[in-house]
Amino acid sequence: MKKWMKWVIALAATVVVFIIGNTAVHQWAPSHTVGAPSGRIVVPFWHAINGPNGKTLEAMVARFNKSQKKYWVESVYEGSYSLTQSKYINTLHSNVSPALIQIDQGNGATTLGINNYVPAQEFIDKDGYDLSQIYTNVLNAYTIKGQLLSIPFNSSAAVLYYNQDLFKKYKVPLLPQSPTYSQIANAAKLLTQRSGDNVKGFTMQIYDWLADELVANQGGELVNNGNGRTAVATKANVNTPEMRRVFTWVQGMIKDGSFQNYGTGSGASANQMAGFVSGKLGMFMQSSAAMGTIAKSAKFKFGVTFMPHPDGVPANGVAIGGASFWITKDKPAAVRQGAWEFAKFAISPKEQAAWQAATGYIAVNKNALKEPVLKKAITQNPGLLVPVAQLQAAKNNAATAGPFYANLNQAAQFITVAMQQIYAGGDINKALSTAQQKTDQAIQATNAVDYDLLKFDHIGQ
Amino acid sequence: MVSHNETAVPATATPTPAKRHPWWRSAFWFLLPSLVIMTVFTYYPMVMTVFNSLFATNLTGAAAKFVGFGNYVTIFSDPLFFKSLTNTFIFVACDSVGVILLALLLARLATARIRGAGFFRTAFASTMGVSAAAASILWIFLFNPSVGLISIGLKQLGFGNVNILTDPTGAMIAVILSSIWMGSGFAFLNLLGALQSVPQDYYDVASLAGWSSWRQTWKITIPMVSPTLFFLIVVEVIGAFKTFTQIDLITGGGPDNTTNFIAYKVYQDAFNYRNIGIASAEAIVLTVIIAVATWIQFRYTERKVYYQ
Amino acid sequence: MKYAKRTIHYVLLILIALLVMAPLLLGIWASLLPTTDIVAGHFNSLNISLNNYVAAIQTTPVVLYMWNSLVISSLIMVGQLIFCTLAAYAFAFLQFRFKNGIFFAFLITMMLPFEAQIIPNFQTVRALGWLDSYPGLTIPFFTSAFGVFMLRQAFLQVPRELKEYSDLIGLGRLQFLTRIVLPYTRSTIITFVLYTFLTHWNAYLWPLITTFSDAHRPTQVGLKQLQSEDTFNNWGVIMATAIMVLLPTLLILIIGQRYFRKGLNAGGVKG
Repeated sequence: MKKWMKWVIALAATVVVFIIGNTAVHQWAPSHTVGAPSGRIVVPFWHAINGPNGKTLEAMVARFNKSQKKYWVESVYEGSYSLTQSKYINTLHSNVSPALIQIDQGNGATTLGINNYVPAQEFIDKDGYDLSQIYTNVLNAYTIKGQLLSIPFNSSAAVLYYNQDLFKKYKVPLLPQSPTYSQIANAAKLLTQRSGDNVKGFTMQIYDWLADELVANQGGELVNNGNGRTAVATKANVNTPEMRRVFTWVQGMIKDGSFQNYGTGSGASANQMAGFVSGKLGMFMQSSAAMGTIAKSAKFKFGVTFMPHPDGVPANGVAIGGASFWITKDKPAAVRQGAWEFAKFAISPKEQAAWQAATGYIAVNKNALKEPVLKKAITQNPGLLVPVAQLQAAKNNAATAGPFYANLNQAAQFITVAMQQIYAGGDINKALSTAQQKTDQAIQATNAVDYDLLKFDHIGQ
Repeated sequence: MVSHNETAVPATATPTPAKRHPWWRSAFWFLLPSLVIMTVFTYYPMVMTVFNSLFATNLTGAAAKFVGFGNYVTIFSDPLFFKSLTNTFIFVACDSVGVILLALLLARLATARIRGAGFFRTAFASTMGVSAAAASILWIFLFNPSVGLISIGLKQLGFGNVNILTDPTGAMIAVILSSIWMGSGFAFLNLLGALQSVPQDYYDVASLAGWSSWRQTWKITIPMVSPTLFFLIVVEVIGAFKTFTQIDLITGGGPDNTTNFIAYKVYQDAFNYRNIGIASAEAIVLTVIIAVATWIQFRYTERKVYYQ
Repeated sequence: MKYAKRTIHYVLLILIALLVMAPLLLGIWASLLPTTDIVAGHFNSLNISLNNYVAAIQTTPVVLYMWNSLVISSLIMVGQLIFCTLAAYAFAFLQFRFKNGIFFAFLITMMLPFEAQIIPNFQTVRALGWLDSYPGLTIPFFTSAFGVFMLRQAFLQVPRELKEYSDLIGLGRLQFLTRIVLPYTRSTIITFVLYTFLTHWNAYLWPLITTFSDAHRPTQVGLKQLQSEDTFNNWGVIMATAIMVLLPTLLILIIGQRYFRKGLNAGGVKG
């Protein structure tokens, strides 16, 4: 009996220690994902933004949570866009799935196919929200059959960054607002030669999106059926003249020795950024969202231009990158309303102004430009206006609306492999035709089983 | 299900008569907890994986269309899967051989009867206490092109600015090196135990006979520890086939899918591309490989158990 | 001559020990340096401090991750100890119908890689509402064929006389198990418990796919989360978190070394 008591006491003590420890650690830990105040409606929110921009987004969430007493947005970083999207589908209708999720533009088709969303249009109509304050080009990216599916939040486009101090030091002419391939190649060569190979002129990260943007800038569509926007895409356009022009240009610079290959993945983008801010790299292309980081860490004057276009092919403008907020259907109405309230908060002029000023994402709200915080940021860094100008100069067509098909993640992988082969000196035509073939196969395989999900007949009926 | 009578082991040797227990005191209750867990989390999923591998799955992961062995045909006609398999085999071979050789060397050095041997044993075993994830972070740091000591060292040796992880061969070597390091502690501890059980007299006699230490190693050590060696090789091979953490953290399967080994490919196809049918077929291929390796090991351990 | 040989042996030992420990020692050293020195390549800097550890604890959820790992590994350890001991007891001491068949059914699970079961297991845990929770991270691992096998082997070494004696003095089965079998096989039990803790502290794949927030995320995937969240620029802090994560298992290994050396050969281990 006595021994028995001892065990019970030991067990009870363990349980008590566990409960106290568990509560203490969870309360104390510097984590944003735990501990909503009681009485609030919790809105689980998944996003895919890391690094300094992620911190900016967390701050926005904190402001929203402070601004009212009804809802509590719990934001969690879930990894890359594709990982976030995959996790969303993997946890569909489970206890952990989010009420609000940030989905990148390229994953829209799948999210639409999953059909677990409340169209943004519904909330907009109900609230009488004035959509005219949002850029039309941005809305186009998220509109299918005239219906806005999701709420554009972080819009970006690829731009080209270059180190003006290096250009001046080596007496290389500065770049025009919309440079051509040969102007870039020439500048890269001069920088590399005149610096005695201390500086590499140019890089293009092995990142499918950059290739996609360069294709859009030539007016090229990445899949058939109007970039997948008039009907479900059935065929990819990978081995196209547009794509080949891009890589012929890149291979030329690799042969010149004026190109630095940083590889692929998040490590590559960090190394490329490190190379640029330490003055070892003259030019590179990246999302306009990288501007905040560059402005903070570059100790030199940097320039920003539109994405380059081939000589003799006029610039068509690039597709809107970035992502939008989707509100999920399988949560209680109050939670869905909370998700919409936060989304509305996030695209308000004030928040978008702060967002663009800090990150370089293009404010989706036109009125953001009137906010003092953004005005001030633009005076300090006129480069912030370049992506906006590029957006406004872009033609209004399917190429700039961006691709809309379900196999984008897979296709990205195939294009990445093709880029790796091409950068290693492989034959462009061969690499691209393999990627083309694989993407087509993937699309066919997906359509064979998923066509009924993916076709967007339910919209506008 | 399970009979209700129980005897002490074995029945014939027991002086006391076999006690009969009511059903609620049968052996069944001892096995039930484990059986429930295994049924739900091992047998059932295994059956489901086989089942899923026969279906094309839609983007929600649900089985949508019966395709028979179609998924297997697909993966075996996919050069990417072959590349994954080939590179997995290359990795497994290099990794296991490397681990065993390194562990043998370490164990041979650490069996010497000298002062401070205990410290060196702990040092050599230490990698077993480092998880694959933490080890990966340590190695990522070493391989980093701008701050990593390996990269800096290579630069000073005149290799120029190398980014090991973006080069296909380099990435493979990086994964092999770090994996050998991670596996060496475990193999070392096992071999040390085996080596210490070899009587010192053998070496003394051999030394008197003028055998070189190489000859002693080959003629005495290796044969004496061969059961442990064999066990280790199988364990290493099985472990290497399942390599995942290093890949996820260090290379992400790249570049150009060079390090996209089969266990990682299963994960990617299932959880990133939501291609459950294909991923299940790949998982079954992995299972067959592992099962064969384990079967070899079972046959061996069974024998060893009898000898004990 | 003998002296020279011994010296060479020592030099060799020290060199190789340094080489083997290099990644770890470098990591520890880097965790003490300011990131600015690391980035500048000043590894010979003497600006050492615990600042990175303070920063890691204050700005990252690493302590929460470690707590989660402690809870998860301990629960699994206790669960396996109970479940595996019970099953091993049955296989070692009881006679029942289909004993060999059931034992074989247990053993065969060792041939089936967990990697091949993750997809249905994920779906099961999702259906149970256990995603991103302690139950989902622990209950699937409450038994292991290896554990049952290892403990059964040890239990078989218990002399028959002890069983007879315990029957004689009228001990029940559970009493026989807790008072005689477990103390007798203490060394194996300790090996098993330490090994289970180590394995699950180091678990990666399952937590990677089933955790979605910091609330229940354990250390190993926590490292990945920190790596991807912070875009990996702050080397000092990253190394400090890695060292914090590996320290508990390193200590277990150092303390439990002798158990591992003896105990692991017993069956096909290694996750």
